[in-house]
Amino acid sequence: MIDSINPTAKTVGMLIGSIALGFTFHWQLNVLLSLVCLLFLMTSKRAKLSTMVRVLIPIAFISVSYFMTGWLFSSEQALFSLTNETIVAGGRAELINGLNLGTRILAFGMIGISYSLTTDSYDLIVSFIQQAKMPMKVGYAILTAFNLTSLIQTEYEHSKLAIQVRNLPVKGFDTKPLFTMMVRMVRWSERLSLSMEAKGFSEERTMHRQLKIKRRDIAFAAGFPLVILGLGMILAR
Amino acid sequence: MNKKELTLRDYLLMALISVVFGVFYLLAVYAGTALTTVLTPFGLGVLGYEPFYGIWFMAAIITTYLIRKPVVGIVTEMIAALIEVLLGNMFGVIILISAFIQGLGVEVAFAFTGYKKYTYKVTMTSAVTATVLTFIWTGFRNNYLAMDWRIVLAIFVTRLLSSLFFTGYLSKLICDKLDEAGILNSMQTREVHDR
Repeated sequence: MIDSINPTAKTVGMLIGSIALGFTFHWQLNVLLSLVCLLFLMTSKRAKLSTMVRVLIPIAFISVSYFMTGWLFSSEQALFSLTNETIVAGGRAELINGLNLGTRILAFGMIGISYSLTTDSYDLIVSFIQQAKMPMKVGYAILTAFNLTSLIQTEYEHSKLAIQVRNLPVKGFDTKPLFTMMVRMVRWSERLSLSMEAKGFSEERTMHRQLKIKRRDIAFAAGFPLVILGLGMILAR
Repeated sequence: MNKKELTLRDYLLMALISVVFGVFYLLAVYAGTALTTVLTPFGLGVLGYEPFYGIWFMAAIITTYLIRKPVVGIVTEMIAALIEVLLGNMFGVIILISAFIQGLGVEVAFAFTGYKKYTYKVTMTSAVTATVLTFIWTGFRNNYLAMDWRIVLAIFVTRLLSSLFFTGYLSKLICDKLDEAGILNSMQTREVHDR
């Protein structure tokens, strides 16, 4: 459903939509929005079910933890505004406060997942370069680092092993392999930039892939936040 | 202040260091999730990620120290966020705003010194400003107004302590070691050759 939306338009729509969501405090809207985002994911050809499940589990955990905090540690201000808005019996205001908080995090997470998993990595950077005027240097630096991710992880493991073979222990947040990696990254950045520039890399570089903004992209960028704001205002009455 | 434009090498360094810290971010996420799980039944799950919060500012401090040009902290955090999005981060698009605020928080202290001082005093100030700005942002995003003030205070204090340790102390320690190893000198020599 949203796979084919221009990545820059999708970014603008979902970014403003997320900010609009920040100004609303209704669990009904959060749940509805989460369901809409689930629909985006289910109809996407890019989002794999296994990846979706892997990302949804931590979000569910975090939203449950916010629900518990909102339920057990409600602020007096929140309870006061809830009892003013609706007639709620003792104890139910805390529950609704928890529900508001928990579903808020869930909705933010669902917008985030439906954005990340339905957007092609290469198209996102290409679109930022072409539509959002991102400098070519930034776009290609990101793509380079992204494509080197697995190699960097392997290098990090090698750095840890190199320390361990000297019979030195390496803990979870140890700075020794991190220091080695920092030195390597400085060297890599020098070599990579030299080789890219030697092959004629510059801001004048042309791109085979050309992306354009169509009417439906603009409709999504404007419509997504407007729907959230509209529903928020209706529920606030 | 070095007002020279950021080069391809600078952007590559920022992106590569962001990926290296991605490994640490992942470790922090695992540790934070485990702590959140333990604390959730007591209603304290919101504190789960706070002890590791300072780790998210480390990349910006290190690149600012190494490159020594304005806006490096903000750009590093934005690049790191974009790489996280490409890798399928669960909070997707909204982390672009979080990244900008984190970078701005780190950058402010260095900007006040005209990017000339890189002492513990500056990195510690940077940790404080990053904590304050991110606290305001997460307060809006996670609606701290709906929570008991003691929980909100606990969030702030834990985040501040984490930032002071990881951002103010540990990042500076790594940077000083890099300086001792001659990395900073070699980078500045290359910069002079590029002019």
